[in-house]
Order: sequence, then structure tokens, then C-alpha cells
Amino acid sequence: MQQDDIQIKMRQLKTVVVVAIIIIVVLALVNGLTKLGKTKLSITVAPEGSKISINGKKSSDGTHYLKPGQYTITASKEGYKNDEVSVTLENKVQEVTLLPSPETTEAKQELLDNPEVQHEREALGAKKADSKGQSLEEMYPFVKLLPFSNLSEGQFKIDYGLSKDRENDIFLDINDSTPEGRKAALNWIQKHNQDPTDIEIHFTDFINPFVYGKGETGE
Amino acid sequence: MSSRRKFFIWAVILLIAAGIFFGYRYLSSTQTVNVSYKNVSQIEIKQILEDGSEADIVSASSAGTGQKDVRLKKWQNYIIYYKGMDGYSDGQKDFRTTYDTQKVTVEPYFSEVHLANLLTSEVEQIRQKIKSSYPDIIISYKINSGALYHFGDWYGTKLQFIGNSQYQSDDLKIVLQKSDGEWKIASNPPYINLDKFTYPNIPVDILRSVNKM
Repeated sequence: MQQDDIQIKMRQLKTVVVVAIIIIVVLALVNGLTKLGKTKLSITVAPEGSKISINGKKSSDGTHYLKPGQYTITASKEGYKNDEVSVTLENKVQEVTLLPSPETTEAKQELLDNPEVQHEREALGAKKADSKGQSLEEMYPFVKLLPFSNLSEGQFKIDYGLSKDRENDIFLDINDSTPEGRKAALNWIQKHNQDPTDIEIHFTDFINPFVYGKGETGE
Repeated sequence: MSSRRKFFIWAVILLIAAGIFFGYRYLSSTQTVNVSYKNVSQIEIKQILEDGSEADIVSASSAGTGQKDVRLKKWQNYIIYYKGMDGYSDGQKDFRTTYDTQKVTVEPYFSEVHLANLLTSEVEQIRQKIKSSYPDIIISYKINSGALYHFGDWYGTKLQFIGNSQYQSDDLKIVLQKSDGEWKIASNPPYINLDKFTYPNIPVDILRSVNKM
């Protein structure tokens, strides 16, 4: 009888183990299948309590698995100016940081009263700015050399500024230049593996006679 | 049921499951790309690998005009090499597959020889347009011969300074576009360098070519 009891208990234990394994496998499969074909998007926001929406639909910060495509993520909080980011999700993990900025007196006081929140915002802001700076250098490696002045074989000075029309992009400013210098500046840009067609260039001291000359009609 | 029979049944179930699994994986990792082509004599599609090299031909066909569906891996870069029919140029086109069905069109431009022939009949009209647009200032510039682009509907040239100024003696670039039978200035005013942000409506390949003049 004792032997039979042991055998029954062993069979019961085996059944429990098999059922547990099946449940774990099914849960893992369901978890995997729900993420199949989706990309991980990680949303960080400060201050806490900000409302998050993705393509206008209420959401939350943290990790999301979304189908590839275009998404606009907005963070809003009462008393703060909304922060918005547009991303194109492909098949790589994306991280997005949103930092609504205080507008009202109450919001500003809230940050003063909670310095750790402000520190968190500053740290995230620095990280966000740093990643933008890094990508500018990745896009235009020669910006590390700017400002640059050339006094021989055509005088010019070249520097860059952030574009007002395009986020995370620059324009080049060429000044203190002669006509030969402006040609030399273009050669300098090309010498640093940058096609001048792909970058907005302002020749600041060039007075275009087609704009300021007399009698032209243009289009 | 004998153990041999049980084994056979399990093996069939596993084979079917494996077939479904790998079939689904293939279908979910690839997508349909509809390639439509016009005036080409040959077309080849190659995958660009991560190291920049090109994989073997994915799909090759003698073309003409038509369209073809090909099944390609998702999130990969591909390049289409094509040869144009007589009077049309050879070339290549890059594209990247995404997560959904997409359409790629291959339509070669006129060949350089054909464009050069067309230019002889267009150049006078183009020069007159430039001169009438800038009647007083154009006398300080020589309009270089320039070139037609694409289907002969774009023109670009360098305006070479021949005037007296020492400080504003830069050569300038200008692009015109023909529409409704009339040439119009597309890059006003002419400038030292034409960039794609200031002139988003001018094809970038034309800007690049004209900037090199």
C-alpha cells in the first residue's frame, strides 16, 4: 500500500510538473507572439506624472512594443509646455526622452521645491543634447574643425550654426572672403568629404548682383 | 497503439509544426516588392550586405516595360542595376525594404547623347529666357553651354563672370525647368552653390552636376 501511495504521488507530481512546463511554454509563446514583428520603444519623461500620448492616443512612459511606422509621442503636464518627438520605428530599439518645460509660476515653484526632479530633468536634458551633438558630428565630421580661417590661396572664414528650419541640422557661414576665397571654401568643404550640395551654405559677404543689381526681373 | 506507431505520429506532428513554423518565419521575414519598369533592356536586383558588399543577384530579368513582384527580405538594402533601351541611360536605384508591401519604379532618363542632341534645339530658347529675366546684369556674365537633364526638361549651367568688379566676380549656377512647353527659372537668384535645402524642388542629382560645372 505504501508503495502504491508513493507511485500515485510520483504520478501526480509528474503531472503537475508537465502542466507547469506547458503553462510556462504557452505564456512564453504568447509573450513572444505579441511582440512578433514589433519594435521596442522606450519612453522616458520628466517630471513624473506627465501624460503621454502616442499618435494622439493615451499611453504611458516605459517600454512599448509597436509595429514599425511613424509615431508622434507627446508629453504634457498642467503648467508645463508640451514636449513632442516624432520617430520612425524600424527594426531597431528606439529610446525617446521627453522633457516638458515649466511655464506657469506654480510649475516653476514645483521644480524649485523638488530639486531632485529638476536634477533629473537636467541630467536627461544633457543626455538628450549630448546625443544631438554626437549625431551632428556623425553627420558632419568636419564640424570639429570649425571655426576655420584660411589666409592663403583665397581668404575665407568658415563656421556653422544650427538651422532654424531643420531640427538637428546646421548651416555653414562663409565670410571674410574674396571670390577666390569662396571657391577655396567650397574646395575645403569637399576636401573634408562633404558635398556642398548636401549642406546649406551662406556666403555672408557676397552681394549677389542678381538680387541687388539694377533692372533684373528674375521670376 | 504500438510505440512504433506513436513515434511515427509524433514525427509527423513535429514535421508539420516545423513546416508551419519555418513557413511563417519566411513569410514574416520577407515582403513583396512590386518592381515596375519602363524603357529598360535589362534589370538586376542585388542585396547590399552590412559590410557594403553586394550579394548575388536576387532577381534578374530581361525587361522592356512591365512589372514584376519579387519577394525580398525585410529591413534590407537593395540596389537595382538597369540598362536603358536605345536613347535611354543605364543606371542604378537604391531602395530599402520595410515591413509592408512597397512599389519601386525603374524608369531611366534619356541618355547623355540623346540629351546633347536635344540641347541644340533648346539652347537658344533657354538663353533668351535667362537674358530676359536679368536684362541689365546678364551682360556681365557669359552663359556657358550647360547641359540638359532627365527627360530634357531640366537645364543647368554656369554663368561665368566677365565683368569688371573685383569683389563680386564669382561664377554663379542657374537651373531652369521646362513645363507646359516653356522654360522657367527654377533657382532664382543664380548663386555660388545650389544646395538641396534651399532648392528642394530641384532634383539633387541635377544640383550636384551643376555645382561641379
